[in-house]
Amino acid sequence: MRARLRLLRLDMLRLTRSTGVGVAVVLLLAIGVYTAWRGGRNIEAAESSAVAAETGYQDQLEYLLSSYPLTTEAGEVLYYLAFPAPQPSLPLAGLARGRTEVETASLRIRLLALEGQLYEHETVNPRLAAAGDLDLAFLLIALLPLFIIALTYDLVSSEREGGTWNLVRLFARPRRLLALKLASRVCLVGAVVAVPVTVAASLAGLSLDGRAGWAVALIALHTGFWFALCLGVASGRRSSTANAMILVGTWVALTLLAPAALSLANAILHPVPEALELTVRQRQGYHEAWDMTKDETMQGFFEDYPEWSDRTVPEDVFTWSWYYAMNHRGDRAAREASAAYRDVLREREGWARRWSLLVPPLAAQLALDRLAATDLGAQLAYQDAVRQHHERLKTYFYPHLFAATPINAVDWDGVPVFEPAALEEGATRAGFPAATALVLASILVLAAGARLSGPRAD
Amino acid sequence: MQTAESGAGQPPLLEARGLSKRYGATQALDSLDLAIEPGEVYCLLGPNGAGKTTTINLFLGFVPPSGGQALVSGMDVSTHDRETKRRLAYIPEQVMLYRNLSGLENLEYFAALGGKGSLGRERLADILVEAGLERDAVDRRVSEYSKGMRQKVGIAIAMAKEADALLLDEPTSGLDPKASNEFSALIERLRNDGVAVLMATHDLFRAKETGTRVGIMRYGSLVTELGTDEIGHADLERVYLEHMHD
Repeated sequence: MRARLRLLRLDMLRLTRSTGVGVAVVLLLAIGVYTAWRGGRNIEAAESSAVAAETGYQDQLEYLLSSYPLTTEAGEVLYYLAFPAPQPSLPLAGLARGRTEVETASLRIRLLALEGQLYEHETVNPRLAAAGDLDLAFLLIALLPLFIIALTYDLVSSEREGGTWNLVRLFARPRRLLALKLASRVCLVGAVVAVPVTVAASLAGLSLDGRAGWAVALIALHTGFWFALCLGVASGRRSSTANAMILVGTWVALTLLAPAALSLANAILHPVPEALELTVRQRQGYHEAWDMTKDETMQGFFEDYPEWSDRTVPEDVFTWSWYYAMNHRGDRAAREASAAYRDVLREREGWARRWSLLVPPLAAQLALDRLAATDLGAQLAYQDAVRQHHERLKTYFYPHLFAATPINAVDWDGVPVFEPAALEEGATRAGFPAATALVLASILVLAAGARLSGPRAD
Repeated sequence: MQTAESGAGQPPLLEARGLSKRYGATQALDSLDLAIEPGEVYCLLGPNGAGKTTTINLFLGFVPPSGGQALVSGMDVSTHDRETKRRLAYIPEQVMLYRNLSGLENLEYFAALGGKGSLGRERLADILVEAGLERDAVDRRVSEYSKGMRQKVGIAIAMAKEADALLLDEPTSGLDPKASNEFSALIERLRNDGVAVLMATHDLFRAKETGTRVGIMRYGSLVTELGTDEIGHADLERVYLEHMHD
């Protein structure tokens, strides 16, 4: 045991005295701690945004109620009033930002047509999507493998090329030496991973629940997969240069090319219209109503809300009940396309989940996003929750709209509060398929990697 | 062919029985018979390609034989890889070490690798000094060492291993006369400790000074064998040159 620890210490010394390794460790730790800090900041920002949305709503309501005469119809105030609908972030979202980079989970919705409001943010700053963001998951899934490759590509070949191989194998079996060198590298990589993950966990207030447990397991298995791959290649008889080229090529294939190819195939197989198209349909549906009789507009509304079909709307006078029914008509016009849009997005998500299992790093990334509830499924669930909230607001306010209730007669304290989307029940188990894929892939590369890359070292 | 007597029924420490090695069409070693007892220094002489390094590599188990046996303490290297390697130490022409470790750390590493992890740093530093390294050099990085200093670390590694037999492949090549002389003294010490030494060399003078027996090889065969106490330096050179001419 003492000899093993001594060997481990000396091998670690060998590693850490290399300038390149030192620079890489410092760089990775710096990026890791930065992304952990940034993840914590994002969660804080989401929480403050939720608080600000609620405060903003109260301030706006107070302002509107004090600015308008008390006899003003509620419909007029509701035209301006935006209701907060913040979805709380899981602490894990600080580790894997997923789609929260480009899609908000803190909408403020008005009683007007909903579809446009759901996607409005997408049309505001599409450049956000192009620029991307740096999160800890990206560091661990995409960048860390390069560090593992740099540490292990010449595990055996460096001994052979450096002339120490013959001396070394007189003292120990090659397998023992490999195990020793691998152990020191696992320790080093483990430390590089543990520091930012611990910082992220502490900043985000992460507790070790099922989701966090799976996330940690996935990170460990993904790291293990790259070690297995490197071991499979580096234990052959190829030169260091050949090993480096094979491993970097594999990294490019698994981290860049395969995900891009799958994404492209997914987009071709499951074409979806732009969200903007839904907004346009909704706007057209709404604007067409200006040229229709109010009765025609209301008939459509009553089809969806038969409970109010006994109400009448005068043709020659503007009423807020008609105006909101007109907005509803916009949503009706976009309803079919919206449902189809969501269906295709769900198909895309399912397809991506299944096929990503062939590309273990991608499977790990998607599983992390799912565990952090920052994936497409969570975004769609949030939108569904917003839809339900919009419906609850309608149910609450329509009686006041039909009755032309003045603002002082509305119970503003009784306005429904947004109920966040429930966490996906199966998401906690989302790590299982990806973990299985990683374990199988590790076994596969260990068994086949060396065979493909030449005879074993001896 | 002269063969050393085995003492008390013990097999020789190093023994070749009809040992052969063929690389494709080239017969690198052809039916070599050889036996080296504890306390013997056997020097293999011969031109490049004579089969000296091949012989050493076969004893070390680095290459498999095409025929015959390489035995260490009576155990066949081919079938007792670990047991035979445990009894052997090896110093190549160029001792290559880990450049970003010090001489002491290198020795510590190889000692631990060879199961001598219990040797303390002070004892290991003493071994390095015994091997001829200056005390103030033991903690310097190997990247700053000369070839002679690396050779001394190589010897220290062999000493720390406490091997029964030492295999040397042109160990004094490139060393200055003083370093070569120190090297010979060390070999002498190991010999007195009962270590069996097989040394491949081009250096006739060193072979005569250090060796107890000398074997001259050519085209993979041992063409003659002499006791170093039987001949002088000039005779050895004459015999060597005679065998180098067809």
